Amino acid sequence: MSHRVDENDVMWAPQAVVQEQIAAILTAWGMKPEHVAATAEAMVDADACGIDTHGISMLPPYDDRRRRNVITLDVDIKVVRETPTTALIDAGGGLGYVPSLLATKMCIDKAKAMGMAAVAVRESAHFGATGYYTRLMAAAGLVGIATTNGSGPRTAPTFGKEGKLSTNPIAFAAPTKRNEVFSLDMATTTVAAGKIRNKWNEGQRLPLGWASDADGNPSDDPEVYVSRGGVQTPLGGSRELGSHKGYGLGAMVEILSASFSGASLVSSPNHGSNKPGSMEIGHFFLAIDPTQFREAGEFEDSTDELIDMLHATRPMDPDQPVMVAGEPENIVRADRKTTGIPIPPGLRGQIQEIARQSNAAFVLV
Amino acid sequence: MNNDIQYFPADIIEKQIAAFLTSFGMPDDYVAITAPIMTDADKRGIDTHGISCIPNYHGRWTRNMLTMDGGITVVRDNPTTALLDAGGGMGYPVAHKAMQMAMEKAKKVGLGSVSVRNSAHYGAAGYYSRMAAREGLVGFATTGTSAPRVVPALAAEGALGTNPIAFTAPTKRNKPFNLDMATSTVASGKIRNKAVEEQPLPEGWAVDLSGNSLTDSSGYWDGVNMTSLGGTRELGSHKGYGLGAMVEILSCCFSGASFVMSPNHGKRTPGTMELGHFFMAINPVFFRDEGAFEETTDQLIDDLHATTPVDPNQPVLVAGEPEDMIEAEREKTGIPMPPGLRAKLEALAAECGAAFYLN
Repeated sequence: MSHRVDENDVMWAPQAVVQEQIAAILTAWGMKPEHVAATAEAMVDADACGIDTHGISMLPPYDDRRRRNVITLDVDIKVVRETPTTALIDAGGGLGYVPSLLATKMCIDKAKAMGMAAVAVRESAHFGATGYYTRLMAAAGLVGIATTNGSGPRTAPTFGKEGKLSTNPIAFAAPTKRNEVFSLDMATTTVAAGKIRNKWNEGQRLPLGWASDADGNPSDDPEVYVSRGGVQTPLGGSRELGSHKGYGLGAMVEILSASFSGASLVSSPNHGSNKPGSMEIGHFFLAIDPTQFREAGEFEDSTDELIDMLHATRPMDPDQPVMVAGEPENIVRADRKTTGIPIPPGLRGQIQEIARQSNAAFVLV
Repeated sequence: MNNDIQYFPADIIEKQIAAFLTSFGMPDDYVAITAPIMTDADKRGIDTHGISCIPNYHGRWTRNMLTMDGGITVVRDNPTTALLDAGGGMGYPVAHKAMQMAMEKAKKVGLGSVSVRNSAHYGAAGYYSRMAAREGLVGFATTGTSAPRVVPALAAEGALGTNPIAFTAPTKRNKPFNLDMATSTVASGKIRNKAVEEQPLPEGWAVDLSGNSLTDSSGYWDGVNMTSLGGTRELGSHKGYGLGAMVEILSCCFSGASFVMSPNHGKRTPGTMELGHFFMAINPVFFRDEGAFEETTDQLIDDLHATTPVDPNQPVLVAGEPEDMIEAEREKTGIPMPPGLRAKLEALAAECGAAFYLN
């Protein structure tokens, strides 16, 4: 069977095939079968909703980290501490998906029993899109919060000229009835690093406020970020436009992710390479059961009412209505159900090579 | 009239606030909680949330938008959660009680969150999250607001308030990490200040009532709205908007409070603004050995302080430090009282029959 390739050499592959490809490679790398299924499902979900930086395109960096022995594929995940409302999980140096799904499930079960729950994860690595976990909590009728720290300190604090935090994302989801769940999933930087790379790939200038050069001056040249020691800005972009708030949120995410779990701080000098086989990344998950506060369904009615009012806000451009968090991804998800997932030629070549080297089936043909 | 800024010790400011609140009919036990919290904002340089709020509160009280002696009811009380009804009263006493309850729950079972409805302004959100950190807990607070003056990404009109988030984490060596931020780019007071001084507005702070970027600060007098943090879509205002909506959900959907953009918000029911708040406390010793959380947080703060600054004279700070610095300074200088505010308060004291101490 061959999949459609468009005039730009982009292949449009069904979600199931992309998932199969991810699973084949993870299996060939030695991940336990029960871990492969959950990981591939979480990764392809990012592709399905247009978060193309967090799906199958992560396989090349994972391959690199695996070869450098900074992540471990075959791990045992341990619950180190557990109380009726909280837990601490040790991910054993493995990829973050499976321990994070365990943390999410524990949050859901504990919050349903106790009203609230929080689970911290240490000794982990990349866990994909943060919003995946909070959406699972919202699907279970709970309000979910999730954070993670990252691998590279490329975000400079306000007034600083060197990177000390990563993109430190935060996700928040709230259940609804009529509307799709409210799902905020955002880096605490002005933009994701991938957006700067895209401008660089295309030879375009950056909007001022996305990045600074190594001296801390705002720069519109993506090269300064890609190869000359430049840094990303915290949300706000400049002190005048409130970058101290984005910086504060980034530090909050670092505290939630590392101080509760005992993970390595992104700001530490040897972050990610302290210990063979582990990036020592930390995550944090929290769930709250709305029925603790009001009758069943009332929280959802209120959230729906808020979303309806926001939708009814007068737009600047009549053709671009006001949306709420999560909707751009929902629109892509609906589209890609029909079109399949776009795999650009460069990525497809990389995946083919990884499959060949690891003796995995290559199904993106 | 004395046109100079006068400086008063914090205890005089607190006494003055208490005298006003008492003259508005607030019961003594509420005054004893409210006056110190309001004074704390003045001590820490959050001048928009201290004694300067008194004329505003007086206006709302005389227009019957809030109830000074509103009774606090515990509507629901579970092991990790509670819902309180403020009875239309000022937010301070109920917020203080809510955070206390969240902290007690977190000490016992690890986590606590308390939601409040039927409330009004509670001052600076960071006061409540700092209460938790003083007892070794991570604190979190949000609130709904009174005016929809913040514009969602892609929108032409205001739909959310400044919707603040406060987060405080305990430490040992350093002062607690204390983030207390509006989810708008700037507070409306900063726009007004530029207008008063006839200075241009930085692009991204404000929009006119049609949603167009406003850089001529004189437009302030015709009405402006504020942007969501990020300022423009290109610089991420959809993120600030998302955070603002998150705060609205936390503050209003758990509690059943009124949304800031609902018709007649704040005026629907006599005697209450129907504002909502949300408070949460998390106990770090449920995750790691005692002191380990604080050790990691101190290390992060030290690492951030050690960042090479762009300007050697402006070291890198962490959230809460600008306020800590002002607090240390004002301990010596006292709290500045500008002449305009002092004159207003003097007139108001005469009108309400409150003692006036700012002489």
